[in-house]
Amino acid sequence: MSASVQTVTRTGVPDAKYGELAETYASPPGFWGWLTSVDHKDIAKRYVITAFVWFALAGVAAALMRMQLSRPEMKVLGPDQYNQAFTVHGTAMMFLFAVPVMLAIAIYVVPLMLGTKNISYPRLNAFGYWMFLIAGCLLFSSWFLNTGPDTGWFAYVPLSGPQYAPGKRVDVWAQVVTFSEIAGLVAAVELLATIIKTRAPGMSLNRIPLFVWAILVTCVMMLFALPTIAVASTMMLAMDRLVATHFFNQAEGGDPLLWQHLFWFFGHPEVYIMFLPGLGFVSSIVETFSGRRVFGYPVMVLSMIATGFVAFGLWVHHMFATPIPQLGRSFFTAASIVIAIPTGTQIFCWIATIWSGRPRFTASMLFALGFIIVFTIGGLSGVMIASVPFDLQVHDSFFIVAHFHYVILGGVVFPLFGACYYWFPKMTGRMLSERMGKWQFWLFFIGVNVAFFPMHLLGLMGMPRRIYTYLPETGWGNLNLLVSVGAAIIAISVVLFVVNVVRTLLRGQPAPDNPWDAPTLEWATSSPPEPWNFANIPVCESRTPLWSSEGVLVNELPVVTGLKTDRRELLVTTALDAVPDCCHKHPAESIWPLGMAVALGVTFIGAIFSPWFYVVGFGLATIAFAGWAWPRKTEHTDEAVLPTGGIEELER
Amino acid sequence: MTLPRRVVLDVSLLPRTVFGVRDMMWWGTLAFVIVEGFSLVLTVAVSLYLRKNFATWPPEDILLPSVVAPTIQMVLMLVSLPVIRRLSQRSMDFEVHPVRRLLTIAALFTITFVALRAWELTQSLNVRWDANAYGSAQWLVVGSHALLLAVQSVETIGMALIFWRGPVEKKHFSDASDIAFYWYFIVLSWLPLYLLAFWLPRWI
Repeated sequence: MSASVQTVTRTGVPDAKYGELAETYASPPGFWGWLTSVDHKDIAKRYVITAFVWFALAGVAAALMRMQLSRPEMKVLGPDQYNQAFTVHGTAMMFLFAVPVMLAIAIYVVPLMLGTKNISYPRLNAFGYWMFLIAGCLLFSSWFLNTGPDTGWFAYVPLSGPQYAPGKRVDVWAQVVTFSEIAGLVAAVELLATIIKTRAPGMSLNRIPLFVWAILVTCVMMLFALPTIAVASTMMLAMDRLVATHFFNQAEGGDPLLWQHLFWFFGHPEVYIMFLPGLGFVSSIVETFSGRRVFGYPVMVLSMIATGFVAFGLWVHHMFATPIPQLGRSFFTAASIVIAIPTGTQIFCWIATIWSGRPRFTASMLFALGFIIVFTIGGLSGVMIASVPFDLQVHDSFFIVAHFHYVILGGVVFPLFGACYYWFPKMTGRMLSERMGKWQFWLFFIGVNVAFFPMHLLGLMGMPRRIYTYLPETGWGNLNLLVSVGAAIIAISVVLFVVNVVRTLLRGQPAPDNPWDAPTLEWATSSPPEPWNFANIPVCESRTPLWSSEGVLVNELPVVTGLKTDRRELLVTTALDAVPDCCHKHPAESIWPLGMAVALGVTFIGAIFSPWFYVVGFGLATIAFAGWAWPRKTEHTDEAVLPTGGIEELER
Repeated sequence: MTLPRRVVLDVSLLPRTVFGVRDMMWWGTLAFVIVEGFSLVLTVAVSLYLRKNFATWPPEDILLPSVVAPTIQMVLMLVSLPVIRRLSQRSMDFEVHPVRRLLTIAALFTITFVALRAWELTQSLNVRWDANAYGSAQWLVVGSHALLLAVQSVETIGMALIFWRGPVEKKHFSDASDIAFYWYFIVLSWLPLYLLAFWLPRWI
């Protein structure tokens, strides 16, 4: 590799090269191009939109529940419909919204933040999206057909076993989980490889943006958490129901408690998998709108890593009401309290950043501040229920519902809306209305607190979870009405957000490349970016590459030259210090990721009814794999070794 | 307004084909090895967890698993390792004819592994999956690894076909080398599972 220094004044790309890039990255026109796209930005945008559709439908389930519970003895939903509503709501929010939407934004932003041209495995990325789409279609179509899952998002056995849950509702749940976990795993793998191997030259570990660190830790956690639920649901619960295995059948030596251990070994880290990206969003937003680097970068990184480790040592606190040895309860109580330390440390770092910076209170920043307040309240009630005696008192009551909604809305949805306002200009090239954004924030903040704070009191008054109605004599009516009013305010806030988005897409203000004067590399390219992201890969000279050490915007960008423009190439760098190491050719558009998704869709949906679909599916997947992996003849002679059917000697 | 660019590096002379940790595909393989490896660890945990529900393992009316076919399988797998190591070395030297030959041998190995695994499941375990939780656990452990063997078989046969019939590019040598990496995982992960499924019932 040779190094040369020359200054260019425009984009750094001569017009001829620009034309060649445009030709190289051109995708097929029309619907076929949409089906075969492998651009991480296209996939991410449809991922985000799809996740918000599932969010809205799961919100409909919540609205129905709140109407039903708003007064005693309401008749909006019957008991069976209510069971389906809370199961579909929980399943969709956890498996189809909270984790996927965070990953979707990461799929869009991470490659840009790293200064690379695409995600590491673009076809795998497209495949993951199709799996995710199938998961949601399966869940909601089954609900609309009155075969929606009805045993809770955790599907405890024996309730969900073959004896107590005849029919196909739980099988639908198990396969929704299968599809969403496949999608999650492939997203984790491709994001990990992207972060490890395609960072801009110079972006050593101590210069990685905190959002990317958050995604790195999240993806590592996913590699261990997601297989657990996949094994438990697809290979054990579904098999108990389909081919009469006995994993959870006590009569034949199985063990119902084993399900709870496996589910929560996944389920508790899942909470951190959901909100660690949210912490990353907040770090990006707070840094930009405070106009200074985040205070305590090494502490922030170590806190996230610590959270990732400790998150796997907490799962039994979901099982304090089961026969767990005393020593185990003490250990898991201690671990549950310990995890508050790294999270609390990060909150102090953000406060220090804002305190010592020059904060601008944009809609995005307001959501970040709202996160700090709401999430801290959720964290404090979490410390309360880490204590076994208190947990046993409020177990399965509305206090728990209040706690986890504070954590999830605080840790996921507040940062998510903040991220939407922050990155929307980059994704679409248009600026969302700040005025509507601030209205939306206040409605959401008030709505969340009106909806969920009274639930603490309802729980302490003894109102259990998962009941479809209650008697007037309980005295729960007025607080429940208040909760439902809060839910309605949340719904208005979300509608306002949708209106803002649609209005902006139709006639919003055009966005400049860096509308917020932000410091990270995604703001160094156009809004929205070209299909190749960066004509020249940027070089990263500090942790905030677009800011000088004084926090002022730089006036030029150091870049790399030498990647070929007649083919899609990524620059691969070393894992630790991000030194340029090689160039990697990227695959073109392909229909086969969709083909593979259809093959697996037929397999797992068919397997709800017959185990033979696994055999059929293996054959279909093999065909799809062949289509996916079989090489096309290259146009570039420097890559070819043996043309089809030829036996020429190797050209070194 | 686009930021002006200042060119500071030229990467045009960097290699286009690399191997092992330098190659991006290797990291994807590693990640899937972690996912699959941890799934296998979970099957072991399930098996040991269910063991506590039984006075004897296997339960009294169930025959011990046969060890003949599984031991042949284990020995064959270990014998395949030097062959696969050679495949990896030849790939790194871009030697097309040896790689083609070794991939063919590897494909034959995987076909044998899958056939033997089918025999192990149906003839050696001596229990059906629906007999009791012991049978379910045994099928979970051996069947999970069988699924990985089947995937490995498809990949290896596919790669061999590419080297026989497809337009071969330099990057395919790196892919062939990654097959070796995955192969080591498949064989070495089977060793503890083999002991757990076929020998542990004799020892405890």
